Amino acid sequence: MIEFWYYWVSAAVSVVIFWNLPQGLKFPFLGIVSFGFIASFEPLTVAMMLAIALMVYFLHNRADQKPLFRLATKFLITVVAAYLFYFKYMPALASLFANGYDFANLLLPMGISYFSFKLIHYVLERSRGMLPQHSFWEYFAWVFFVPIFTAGPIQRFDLFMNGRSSTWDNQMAWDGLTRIAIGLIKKFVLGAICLFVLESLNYGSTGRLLNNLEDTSPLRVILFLCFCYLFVYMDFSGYTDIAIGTGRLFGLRIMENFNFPIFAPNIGNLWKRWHMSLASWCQSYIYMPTLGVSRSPYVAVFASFLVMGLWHAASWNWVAWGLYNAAGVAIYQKWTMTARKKKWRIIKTKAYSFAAYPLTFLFFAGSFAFTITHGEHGLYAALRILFRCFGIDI
Amino acid sequence: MNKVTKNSSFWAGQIVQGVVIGTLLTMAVVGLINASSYGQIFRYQGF
Repeated sequence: MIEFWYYWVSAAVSVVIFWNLPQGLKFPFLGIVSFGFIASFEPLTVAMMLAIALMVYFLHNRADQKPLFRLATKFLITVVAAYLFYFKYMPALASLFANGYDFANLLLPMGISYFSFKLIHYVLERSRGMLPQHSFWEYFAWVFFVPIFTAGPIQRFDLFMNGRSSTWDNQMAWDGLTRIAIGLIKKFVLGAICLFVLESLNYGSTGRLLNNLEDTSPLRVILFLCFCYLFVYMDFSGYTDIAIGTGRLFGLRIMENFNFPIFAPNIGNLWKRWHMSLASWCQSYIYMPTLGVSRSPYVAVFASFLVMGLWHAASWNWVAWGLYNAAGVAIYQKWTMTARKKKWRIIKTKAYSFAAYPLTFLFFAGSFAFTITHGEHGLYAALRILFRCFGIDI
Repeated sequence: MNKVTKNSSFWAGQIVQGVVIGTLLTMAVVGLINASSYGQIFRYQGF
């Protein structure tokens, strides 16, 4: 959305109006402007989102008796999950069956994954009584706040409510503008440099590396994956910086989504630094419940990463991406546990600590083999790229 | 006058910093303006 000039103009005008409104009108204004902006792109799909968002708020509000409240919680989770499932996964599932209903023309609603996960978080936390007191308009502004609507972070409602400033502050505005500037530089300068390198490593155009894989040196393939990682990091974290900065201009604290993942010393730590809002969502609502039921951290890790993969897209590539990361985290957990138990000295050596950073970087860069081939190339292409890193052709 | 402001290396540092940040920002804004025709070969999936 940030590529549209009217995003910036409407953000600037909205900031001025927002801070000149009485306190009680600030959030109605923010919610209505945000909703109107999003609705101007896809009015029909956003109308459906509005219906679901209203249902989530008002049904829970009305169900004040305990059994009814529990029933409403289950019903709302089912509705939101079914909405996500229908638009995101039905086309892929239907394609598996030759005589299945044709979902080819079904358009994926903008921001559906972020929207659904935010609402599931809201329903669950509200059912646990963990949310602060709030008005309908605060909820509405949180659901549709433009900067985080299409590309996150998956903002927690309690943080949205608790971290905000109610008065204009020059320092806050400066922080916001600086953050936007950093985001723009990351996305359009550093990201563009990564893209330039990627294109030259890719022999100038999309897919050529894949066509010439057998003649490409493993080093070139590894470099290609490393720059894929760097490009996505710059592009995605730059967008998050712009969202956080814009939020600050409205006095809001948007969650951090990245914390220098390229400097992670291990894969477990990396997942505390990369797409943090998705990772923490999965930790709260997939990892912990699965751990409670299965009593196995490995089952919980695999379940969490499977959901994370499928959250991105309904494809075998994203499922494999999830399993690849889950395997990395599970193996790392087992390795450190065994090393501590058996008091292996190697984990305390400088060489181990020194090697851990590039190895983590390379392992995660490898996961981009699955994501860049998602779609037209498929899982086999991802495996060909990964094997080629070791000089093996399959 | 402050001792620091007399120091020419201080001002040289400030100018270099200003030029670098100014250039980066200009490039970023130009990139943003060209964004609609920006040829991205990959896009983060799941948006």
